[in-house]
Amino acid sequence: MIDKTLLVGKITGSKEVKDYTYTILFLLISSFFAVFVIKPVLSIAVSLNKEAKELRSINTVFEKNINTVVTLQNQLQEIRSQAYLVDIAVPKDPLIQSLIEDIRTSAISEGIVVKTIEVTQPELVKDGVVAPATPGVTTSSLTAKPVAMKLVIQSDFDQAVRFIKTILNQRRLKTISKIALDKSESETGINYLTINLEVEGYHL
Amino acid sequence: MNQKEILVISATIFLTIITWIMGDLFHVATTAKVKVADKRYSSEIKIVLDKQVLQELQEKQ
Repeated sequence: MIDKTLLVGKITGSKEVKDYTYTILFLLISSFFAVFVIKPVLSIAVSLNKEAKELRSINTVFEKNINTVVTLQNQLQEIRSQAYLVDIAVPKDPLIQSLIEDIRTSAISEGIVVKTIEVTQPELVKDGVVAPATPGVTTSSLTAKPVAMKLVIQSDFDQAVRFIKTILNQRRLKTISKIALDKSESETGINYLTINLEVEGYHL
Repeated sequence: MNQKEILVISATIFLTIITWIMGDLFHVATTAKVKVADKRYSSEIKIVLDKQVLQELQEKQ
């Protein structure tokens, strides 16, 4: 059995013992308060502060986005009358017949002989990178899909230049990805160029 | 166990708890609290409508 009087006497005895006791009690009580009072309060305060900062930041982004959307709506309103030009330049369907017609019209107007027009396997273009078409892979509605055509024409150099300019100056978007010139001579001794062209039209 | 040893143990416990609290606060301060349902909305929209392109298309035949 512990003699309480002796224990209290020991604790309150010398100054050194008192100092040790007070310090130990201070540290233990402080630790207790730190764990059960100070930590939860500080945690909540820091968490709320962090949340407030994040919400302010998100709010700023949302406000900017709303302003951007309103500005875009106004701009779209302004260009509404010209929107049909985009549908002509990059239609929703491939409209291969119209592409061929464009090329034939240009060739006829420049007096060029189109020997062959060959429509090749279409490829997918996404973010400016050409990727082979993969069956069963769905792509974004914003992906431009080219329709590639190989042409072989016969003409002189000036006609060919005018033909290419005419093709590129049509509203239906077209690019020429490859061009190869070959000098030939007819039976009557007239020089002409045989030109192999790869033309790409685009659709959505 | 004399008083000196108890003091050392108490100080160790105290310092450990202080360190733990600091670490916990740092963790709370660096963890994202707000979850945006669709991340597309949490980044700025950047769309440029180039009217020059329409003008060029208008000039084409």
